[in-house]
Amino acid sequence: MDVNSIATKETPEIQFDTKKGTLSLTGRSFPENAIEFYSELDKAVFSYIQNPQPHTSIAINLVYYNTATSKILVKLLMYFEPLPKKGFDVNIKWYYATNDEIIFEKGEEIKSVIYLPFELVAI
Amino acid sequence: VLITEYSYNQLQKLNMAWASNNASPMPIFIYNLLQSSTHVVAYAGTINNNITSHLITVLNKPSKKENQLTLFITECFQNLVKHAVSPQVLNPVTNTTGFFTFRESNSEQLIFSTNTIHSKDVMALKEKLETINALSTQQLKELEAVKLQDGVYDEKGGAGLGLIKLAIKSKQKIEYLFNEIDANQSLFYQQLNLIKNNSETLATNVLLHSEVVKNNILLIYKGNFTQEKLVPLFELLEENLVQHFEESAIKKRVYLTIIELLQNICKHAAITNEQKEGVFMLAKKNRKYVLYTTNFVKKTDCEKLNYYLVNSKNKTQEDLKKQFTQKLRDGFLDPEGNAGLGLLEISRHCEGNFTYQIEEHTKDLNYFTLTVKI
Repeated sequence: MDVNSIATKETPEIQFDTKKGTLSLTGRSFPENAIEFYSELDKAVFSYIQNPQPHTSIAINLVYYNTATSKILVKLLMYFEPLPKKGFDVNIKWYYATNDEIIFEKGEEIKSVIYLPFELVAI
Repeated sequence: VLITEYSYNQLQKLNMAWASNNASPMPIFIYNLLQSSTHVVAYAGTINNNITSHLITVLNKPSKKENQLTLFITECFQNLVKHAVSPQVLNPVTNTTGFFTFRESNSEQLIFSTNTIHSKDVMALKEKLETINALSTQQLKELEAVKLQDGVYDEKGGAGLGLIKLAIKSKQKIEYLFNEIDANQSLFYQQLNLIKNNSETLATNVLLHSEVVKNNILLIYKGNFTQEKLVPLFELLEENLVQHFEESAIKKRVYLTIIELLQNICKHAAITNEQKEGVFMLAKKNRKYVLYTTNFVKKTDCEKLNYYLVNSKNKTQEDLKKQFTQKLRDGFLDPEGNAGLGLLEISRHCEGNFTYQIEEHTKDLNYFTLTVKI
């Protein structure tokens, strides 16, 4: 199940293409109820990992997000953790503006709790 | 009784009496000043055209009311922009005296604005206001028609129509007050009550303005804290206060903290008067940004709140980070999407530089005030 949602002033653009094995989150994320907002993506990711593509690329480019979102992000990324042991390739790219040290630190923080290839990329 | 019959000294005496009876912490004092209104947006800083649309969105009115309000706010702002002089230093933070407040309750809906004008222009402006206030709506319309036909513009590009338009549309007298700062500059307070004139409110607003200047407050919002309000409020802060931030990391920390603070009220404040009422303020003091929130909390929730506050304070940055990252992986979210991470994150952004007060309000509710310095 693919997920495509456009960005709003409080929620990110989400593009999850299960055939290509790509997932991207772009923009801001401080919805009123993060569980509710990300429930569709949660279901789609859970279903995807049962039958994933050989390569999965995840791109996260968030400029503002709340703590509830960071919790959801970790939960979503944890779904992918068993895949490399089963022979599936997963890589995560965390984008941050070169002058945005906070988003860079946030990326490092999430990288420290996720056991998957995780790259911080300056844009 | 129009406020113009008060002298500034009388007002100051009234304000001082008021202030001495309200020896509460500043955020609660401001809350008390705003008590008669259910909805308040006050903004101090550079006044430009972009700000109107953000303010209107924060005020969130049905379209017909929105149009009327847009007109009032636009006219008020144009007056501010047109007549303001750049003061030497009045508000060292905003470097301007532009101040705008919208207040609303069942019995009032008012726009209060303040700016500095040249003292030499006071008499002419006073005469203009006296003339306008003495005219009936019909007479005002005739005067407007004459002004439009004449097409005479003053040196600032104004045709003197702004005040006339405000008086016609509001069907109310324009309340005003002048306060001479020195021989060159005077403060001009202008208030338009769209429901009925009330001189006491003008006195309160003058006091509010002096508190704003004294505490270098950039923004005050009082009202119902919902996600719908949070987004335009955030945009207003993001776009119009951006010039105050010297360092982008500080700016980011302030904005991320604002999101957590406002969402904390949206989610956890006790419901009073059928809304999650609270006050949010942003100020700048001694090169630090100070964020204040005041809201009500049920007494039964205070033990839990206190636990989170104590847990987030008096910890090293390292401990806070450790606890935060541990919760990221192992913690859980409740059905409302609360991660219990908000106060930890706030404490990290301000390096533990926050204070809080929980004071009794009623038998079931406490005031909860949080002050965060970044």
